[in-house]
Amino acid sequence: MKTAGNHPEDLLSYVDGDPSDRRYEQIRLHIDSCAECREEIRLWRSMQEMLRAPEFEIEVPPLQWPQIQGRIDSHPRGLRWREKLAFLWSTRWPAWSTAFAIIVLIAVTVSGFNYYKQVEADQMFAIAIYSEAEWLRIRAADNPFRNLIADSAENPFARFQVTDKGNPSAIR
Amino acid sequence: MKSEQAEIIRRARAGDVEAFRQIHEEYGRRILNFIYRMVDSREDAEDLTQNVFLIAFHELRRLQDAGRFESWLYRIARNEVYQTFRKKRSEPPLQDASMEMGEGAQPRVEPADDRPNPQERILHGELGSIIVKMLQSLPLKLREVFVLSVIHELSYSEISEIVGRSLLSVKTDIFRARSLARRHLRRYLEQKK
Repeated sequence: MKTAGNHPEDLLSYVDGDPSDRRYEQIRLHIDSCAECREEIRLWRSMQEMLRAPEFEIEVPPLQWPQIQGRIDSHPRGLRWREKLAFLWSTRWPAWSTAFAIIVLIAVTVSGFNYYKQVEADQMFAIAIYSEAEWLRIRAADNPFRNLIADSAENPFARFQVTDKGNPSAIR
Repeated sequence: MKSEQAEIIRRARAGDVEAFRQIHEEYGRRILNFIYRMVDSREDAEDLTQNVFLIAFHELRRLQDAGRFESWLYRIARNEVYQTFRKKRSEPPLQDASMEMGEGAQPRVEPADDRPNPQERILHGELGSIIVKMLQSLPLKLREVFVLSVIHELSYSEISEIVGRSLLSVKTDIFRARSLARRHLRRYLEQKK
């Protein structure tokens, strides 16, 4: 095992004291017998010491907490709508969230279908009313053009036969 | 996590400001220094630390596992840092002050006592500035794992949770960052022999 020369990254878990590495024990035994790896580790550790020195840290300003407290007081904690509905997307309740989403989807689909059917029925009713009114107008006795209109190819009601006397016959 | 700390977090979750003050006392310095290492500006670090604790106070109720409080707090700090970087990137670059000064314009008056205090003298000393330069030279992705691992002594799994990357990716990045850092600090490390 030539750790420091070939794979210095193998020493990382040892330097950081991470025993979760499966080779930790193997690396530890190797270090005991390898001067090169011991030197590598010494360098890494002295770099850590240097960087962790308290003189390179900055102090919390004494007024920081009063400022935070002031901001907390000016924005008291209250439940926002996002927090009230948080249970819907909470990772603890994925089944509830999925069920809720499916119910919403079904409700939207059914109501949309019903709306479409209602609109279609309204349109059919309007056509029927219009047809009836048109028919009454054509067959009116005082309409001098009743025969012309009734026989015209453009007349959508041409399928209705109008006699000389203005009486409609049965539908063909 | 100690039961005493868990109790403080439980009280803070219930809205106890005094308990939250204790949390700030415990973690304030670490969060401030983490942000400082990331943004390299004391003023920004102090402002962002305030934001982090304000967010933590308001969002604490959503934290499900009190044992993960520290990682959660660091994650908020990291998000704030990234948000600042994003904002700074979208801001137009400031014009050079010397360009703005026309003829006859007065030079900027410096504060009366601008001498650094002893702590700042150390921070701005040779080694201090080399450390700052070394951190600045690291890409953000490497800098965050390096600071959390080497300076803040967090475990790999905690770091992985904070940065939202796999354990393997975190380990690789820590190694790369350490190697780059060692190259920068070689002269000082040899002096310590």
